[in-house]
Amino acid sequence: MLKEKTMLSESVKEAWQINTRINKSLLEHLTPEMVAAKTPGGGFSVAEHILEIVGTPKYFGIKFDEAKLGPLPDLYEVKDEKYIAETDLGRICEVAQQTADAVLEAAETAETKGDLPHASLDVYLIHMMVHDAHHRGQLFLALKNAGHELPDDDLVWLPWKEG
Amino acid sequence: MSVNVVDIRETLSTFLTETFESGNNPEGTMYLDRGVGLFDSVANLSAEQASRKVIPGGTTVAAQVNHSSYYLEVLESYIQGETPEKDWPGSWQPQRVDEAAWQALKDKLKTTYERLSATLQSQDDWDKLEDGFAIAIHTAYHLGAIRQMLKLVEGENHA
Repeated sequence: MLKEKTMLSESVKEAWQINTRINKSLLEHLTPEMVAAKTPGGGFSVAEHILEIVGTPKYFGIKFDEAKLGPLPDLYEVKDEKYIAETDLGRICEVAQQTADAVLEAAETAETKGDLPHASLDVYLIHMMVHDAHHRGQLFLALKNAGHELPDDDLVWLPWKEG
Repeated sequence: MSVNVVDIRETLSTFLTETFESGNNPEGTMYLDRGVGLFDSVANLSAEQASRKVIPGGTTVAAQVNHSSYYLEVLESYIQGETPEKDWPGSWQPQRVDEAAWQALKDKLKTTYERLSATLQSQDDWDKLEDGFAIAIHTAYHLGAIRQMLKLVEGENHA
């Protein structure tokens, strides 16, 4: 039987909370030296990957709740028409948590999906989690290539198994 | 707002197609640039390139591909209601492959994906579709690593 899904599903909400904890563990692992790491041959720095992870949910979230998500701080500034990613880890951690919490709260209380291009709020959050994972994979490789220690694998994968 | 499992299933299909087969939808992609899905990313890599440890102490692209393929098999077992014995350390072997073994790894990844994708497309069970999203998240992570490893492999070629 097909199940009708009218609101943000509990399982997606739970997955988002797990994803947020994984990102938090990753950010807490970082040191100022790690933030500039970048894989040779092109690609983003660690700071730029974090900017993607934090900024993209806000970018889409504004399309269904501008009032709640629009005022969230950004992790970049524009200099000479270029986006410069925030490198201060304290601020990164603070804004990342604030954004993840606000996105979830907005998704939980939304009555419509507004102008989101996604089929539903579930799909929006799933999209953001796949997007995050792709950037985490790149970020880890950049760290490893620069000779930095990686967070324990359990921090990244165990929460998905154990909740 | 009314969304049902059909929408979720279609979304899952979009994510898996983009992750494995590359996003070539003219209306845009979800999270990857065009043409950089897993199959396309490794298609033209030689066995020697796939066997290179581009970072000391790290893995190889061949190992990443085998691990990704193994994850599909494990999730396929769960979707079928089984509880498989798992060997995650073993999923990172082989690190080095010859051309025949490399082709076999790529073929296995593709056939497992195609079988699993077809299975998921016939699912109405939300819990099993969730396993499909776990596959998308897991593969997206390793594809991210592989894309970075390819930069190093290509960089070595240019050195």
